[in-house]
Amino acid sequence: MAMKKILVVDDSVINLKMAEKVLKLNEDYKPVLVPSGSRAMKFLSANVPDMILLDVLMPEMDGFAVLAAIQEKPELANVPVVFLTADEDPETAARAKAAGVKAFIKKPFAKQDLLDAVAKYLAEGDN
Amino acid sequence: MEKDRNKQETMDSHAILQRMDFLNLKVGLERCLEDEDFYLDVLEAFVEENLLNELKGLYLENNWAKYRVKVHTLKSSAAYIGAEDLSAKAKRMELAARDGDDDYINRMHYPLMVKYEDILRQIDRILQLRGTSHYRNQIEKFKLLLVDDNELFRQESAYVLSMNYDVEEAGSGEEMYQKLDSGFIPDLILLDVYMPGADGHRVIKDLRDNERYGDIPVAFMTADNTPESMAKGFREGASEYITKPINREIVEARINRVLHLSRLQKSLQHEVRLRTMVDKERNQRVATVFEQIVNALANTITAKDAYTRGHSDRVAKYAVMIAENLQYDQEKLTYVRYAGMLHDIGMIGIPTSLVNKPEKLTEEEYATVKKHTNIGSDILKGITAVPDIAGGAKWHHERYDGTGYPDRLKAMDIPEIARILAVADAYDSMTSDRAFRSRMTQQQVMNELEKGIGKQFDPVFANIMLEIIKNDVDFELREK
Repeated sequence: MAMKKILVVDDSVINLKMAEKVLKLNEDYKPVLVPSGSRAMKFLSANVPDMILLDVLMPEMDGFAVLAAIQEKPELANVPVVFLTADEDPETAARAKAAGVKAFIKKPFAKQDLLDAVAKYLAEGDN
Repeated sequence: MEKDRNKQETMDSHAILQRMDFLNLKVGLERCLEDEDFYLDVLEAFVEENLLNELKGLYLENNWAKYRVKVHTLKSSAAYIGAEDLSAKAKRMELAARDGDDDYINRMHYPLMVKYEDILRQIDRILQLRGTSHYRNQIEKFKLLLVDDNELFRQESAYVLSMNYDVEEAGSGEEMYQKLDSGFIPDLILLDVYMPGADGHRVIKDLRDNERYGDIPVAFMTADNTPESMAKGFREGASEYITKPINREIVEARINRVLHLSRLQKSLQHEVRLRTMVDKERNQRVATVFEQIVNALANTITAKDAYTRGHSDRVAKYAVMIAENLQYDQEKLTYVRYAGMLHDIGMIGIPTSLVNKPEKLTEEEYATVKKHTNIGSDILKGITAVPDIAGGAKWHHERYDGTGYPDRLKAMDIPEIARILAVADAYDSMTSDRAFRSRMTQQQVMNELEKGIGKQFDPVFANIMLEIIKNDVDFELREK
């Protein structure tokens, strides 16, 4: 299986480190870490990842804003997006679903939850 | 030899982690996939992330939306490293910021900052054990000035305390001032009570009175812990009393407590100063905008008739002079001035040919002009917060004896502002060159005012105006 590029967007270095640590457990995953929505868009202007893990509450551009920007790009239409967030507001989850987010993982995440979700949606993407 | 030196410098990750007993290490390790080195890396990232300044700044700006995002990040980061208490507090604060709960935020912001800073400091201190090549101190250590004449005690204590604080020493009160003057401003002074020359009690008294250094908290150190000595020390302003020989843990606990309080106090003072300044500036801006709007409104009359605008300004001035004799406060006087500036605004609805017509007005024409009172009141009636302003426009032509217009109000039924304006209005008319009559002399004006007492004019205000005229020796108060 080819290396799967997984874009992780979060304003906290700690969260990025954590996600990276867990994702690297699978040798086929290549995590790409960016600290903001704008940097993410910069990366996406030249790359198509296999999956995007997105934090919701971020300064400047929040998760929903990034999602909207992603959905405007036809080349990213098939890239699964998963929200990774410590936001416990049930409204946010509902809103995310309505917006087309594949899954909503709560932080701090359990290692297996994250790996299972990534595996599931990557497989979906392949098919 | 090399190996030994390295061993001295660094400690293994497991041992270092064990010192962080204020964290839930089990949870933290689990998240870090049991990788102790990684856990320490994450702890380093936590210290580097240091959101204190951003949080403090956003709090002072009252920017709850951005504050919430930062607190959310803190909650998340703290959870990952096993700082569960801090994470829980951050979570409550996040909810408060989301809901705009000003009360909760104002109450709990500083306690949260104190807790956060505390943990940052502790982690930062312990991470040092990874070796200076690996990790450099992120958080500034608290500074202590240790003042004791006993050199041995001083050096030993300084050595013990320097693990967690930046310590400077002084052997006497004089040396203490030298250190302070040289620019070393400590967060706390540890002062020996019994020193030859200047005894500790006198030193602390002088220190408290000192303008520059009076704010620095002082902890007394002594082997003499008699109640008398302690009471005296506290009375003189000592924040803490530390008995010799020093027990490191207890002393650090006491020192940290004092430092927390001291920092909190400084933060609060800073906040009060800042907010007062911001409020002042805002009030100033609002007052200026107001003033400018009233001016703009008053200016609309000038298009009709230049006399009316100058007239309104003068009436405003005279009305304020009268009102100043009535113990009106600054705010009320401002409203009197506004009422004066706008009392004739109704003129804007009167045909230009009639306004300030030189010949005598016909019955019909006069009836039309009289309408300016109701027109003015209609224009201003939206200003309900200060009803006098519309009232002044409506009733400044009422007469004390009830024969005025538009409503034939009598005596005290006429609002006070209108009665004041009536006097001011008449005064200005008499002291101006009008189309139908030239300016009167002061004596003539006074005669007219006296004649009108009880008839056209309220006696109190007419008399005040007479006093004002008498004091206006050079007859400055007139149309120029």
